[in-house]
Amino acid sequence: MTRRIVALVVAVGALSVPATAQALGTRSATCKGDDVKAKVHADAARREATLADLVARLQKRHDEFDMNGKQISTLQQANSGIAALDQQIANTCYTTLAAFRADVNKLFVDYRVYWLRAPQTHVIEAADHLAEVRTKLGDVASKLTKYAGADEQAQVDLAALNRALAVADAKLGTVPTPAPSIAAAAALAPAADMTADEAALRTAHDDLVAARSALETARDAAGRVVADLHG
Amino acid sequence: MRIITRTVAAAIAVCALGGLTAGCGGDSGPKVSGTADAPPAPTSSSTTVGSTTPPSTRPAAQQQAVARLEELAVLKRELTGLRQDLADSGSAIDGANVDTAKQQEGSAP
Repeated sequence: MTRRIVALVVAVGALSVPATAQALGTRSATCKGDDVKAKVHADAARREATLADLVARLQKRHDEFDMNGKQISTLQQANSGIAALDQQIANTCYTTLAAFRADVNKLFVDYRVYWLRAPQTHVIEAADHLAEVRTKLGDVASKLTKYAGADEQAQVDLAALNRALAVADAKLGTVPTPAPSIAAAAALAPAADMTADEAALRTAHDDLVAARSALETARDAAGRVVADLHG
Repeated sequence: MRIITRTVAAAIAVCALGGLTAGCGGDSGPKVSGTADAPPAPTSSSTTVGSTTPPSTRPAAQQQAVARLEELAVLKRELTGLRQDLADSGSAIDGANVDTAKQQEGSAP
């Protein structure tokens, strides 16, 4: 019984790694890299799953800055490219290790799924979230301005609210135009040397953190204005 | 409810038959609306300013104050919702950290 289960598991495992296991059994020992093709396939599959998840996250959003559609298309193209590369690597008998490594390297350098696409997509997603909050807080501020009248404390808190919204705008941008750092991060492409990409992503991340903090300050100030007027 | 109705009906009948008694009209007895000897006693609710006045007859200033309080309550609820919206942005902002994300990249075998 145990042997049958083991045999079944082995058979399923062989099916789940397309061509690789079969290649190992049927090709000559001169095919380079066959011993690590299963790991390469796992790396490709993990990237495909991550890209699909990133697409799903953006598809849920409202696209306040009109950046989501282009990014979704980029992610889907990367997914197709990785799937094709995975098949190509699995089905090729590499006569030299250098040729094998050159193809495998594309999986990392040509796509930069984790180094670039994941944080870049999250920059776009976070900017979308925060822009939605900013719009709602702007509406709240307009209504509170109407009611504040001559209430001195309400005017003080309203001024704090508007200052915080201005800080958020500087870091995030104003719908439909994203701040320069957000737009720059959204436009990044995979590179062999990721120094410039990293710097741009860090700047965008810092601006998102600052924008969120400013919106929290604005929300708290709006709460105080409501309390001032509600008595 | 049925008992109260019967009691009121009995009191009216006693007044009609026996004339004024201590229990029919006057200040000392129970007030029974519609009896022959006294006009309907005003209830406390009908004399309270504002509570039963139709909205259409309220002074404009009072209507504005009520509307303002209602809108402030709505704004308060919106601000509570925005606290959650801001919290929801947290995972996206964390994911935008390149220094954390790049550690998953790995390298070619």
